[in-house]
Amino acid sequence: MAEAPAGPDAAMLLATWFSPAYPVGAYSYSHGLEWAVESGAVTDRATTEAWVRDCLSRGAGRTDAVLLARGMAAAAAGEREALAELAALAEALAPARERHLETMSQGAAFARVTGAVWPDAGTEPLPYPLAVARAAAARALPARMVLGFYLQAFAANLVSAAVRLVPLGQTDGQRIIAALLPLCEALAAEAEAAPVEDIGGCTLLADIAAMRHETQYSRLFRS
Amino acid sequence: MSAAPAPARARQPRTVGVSRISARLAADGRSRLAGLYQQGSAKILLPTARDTALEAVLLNTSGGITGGDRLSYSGEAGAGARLVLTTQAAERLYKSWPDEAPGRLATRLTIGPGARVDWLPQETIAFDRSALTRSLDVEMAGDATLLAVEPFILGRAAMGERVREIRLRDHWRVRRGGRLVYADALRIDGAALEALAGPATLAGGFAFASLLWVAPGAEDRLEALRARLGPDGAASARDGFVSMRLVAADGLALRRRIIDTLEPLLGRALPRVWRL
Repeated sequence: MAEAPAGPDAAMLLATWFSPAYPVGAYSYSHGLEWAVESGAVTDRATTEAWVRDCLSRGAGRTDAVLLARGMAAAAAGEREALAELAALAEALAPARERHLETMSQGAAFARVTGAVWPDAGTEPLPYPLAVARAAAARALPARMVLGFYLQAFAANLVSAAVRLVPLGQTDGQRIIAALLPLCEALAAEAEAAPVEDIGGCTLLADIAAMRHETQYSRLFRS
Repeated sequence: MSAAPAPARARQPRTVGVSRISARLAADGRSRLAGLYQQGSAKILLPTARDTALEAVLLNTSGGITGGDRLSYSGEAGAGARLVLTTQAAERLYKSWPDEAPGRLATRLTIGPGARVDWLPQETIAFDRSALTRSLDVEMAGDATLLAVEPFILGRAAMGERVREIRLRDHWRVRRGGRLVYADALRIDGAALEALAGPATLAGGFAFASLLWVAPGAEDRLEALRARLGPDGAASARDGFVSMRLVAADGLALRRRIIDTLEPLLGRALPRVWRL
């Protein structure tokens, strides 16, 4: 899988795509965390870490990672139908309307920007992990590295939301991210080889939080 | 009903069961039996009709599912017909040996134009070290209706049972007019107590259910369903369906909530087996 990327260094490219400054609007989605804080389920550093850990390893983090890995393989092999099927699955798997918005609008924004800057990356909208998969496959980026960056960005975005919502100190936020980096690495390795049938999780209360966020009275986030 | 988990068994032939049922709309406006097939441990009971729907009760005569078992159910409602499916008892998942394939239960529902299927199995109760791979595949016409629920109880907390290890997969795929509109993938692997303790998983609640309402104008019911689901559940709507999750402290609380939530969607009484 680890072919040499054409053009810029793979890590620099990925650091660009997954920078909070990359215009996909990641900062505006809390993935249900805003409701979890409102309801008292997440109150401090320990509960934030537990929440993000489960969303990574038993929720959308792992699911997106498997979709991304399979999507990269499909895109690299030129299997358009397989990529379209994965996109349909990613969309259908969204457990709540705002989680659907989260993956669809970030994916559309990622494709729009990335396709404009790197024309071989493709501009048609796809769910976020598959928009990334298509662009990464076009640059022949190493899958494991792409998965690691994706998962780290997913975790960092949730922690950043928690820093604002709980609230947590910036240093505690970074402590949580540091504690979760080995998990991101392990999940990247697992997802790289996982078949699509292996997708699944058990973050039912995170799903409920995302559903309840739809009717939350006062909100900063779109999910 | 309160049997302890099955004792460890030696290598026995595993349970195999296949059942299929289909309903068609008759000229008198009633849904009638169009086809019935049963093989092995899968049986179908047909209670006396109480309204125009065809109601069928599925039964696994082996008394539970363990490693290597294979069950396959299918239900079909032809144009304009309504088929209501439930199960005779809670399905129990017993200990599987680590080297065995998980038990498999595959359900396939086909819903024709203007037709409706209600998939209302009773609870699945998983015991320690059980393993199940289950699937629910639905093919429905653009204007068809589906009401589905799958309640899970992990062990029986009231009896001091704890589920420590489990291998559970439950995959839902709903295709409407040939297009995948809803998918769900439940996966609990390995250390269940740890997996389900967190604030984002189940916070230690061991009874939960997923419900789905797919119908023309399904979104119109969202607010009413949210009220019925109460504080332990939630609902979301898009693209002609409402998906719902419920988490409860125990099986009885879960069942009460499910009954409350299903009632306005059913437009008829629940199957008798569902009464408290």
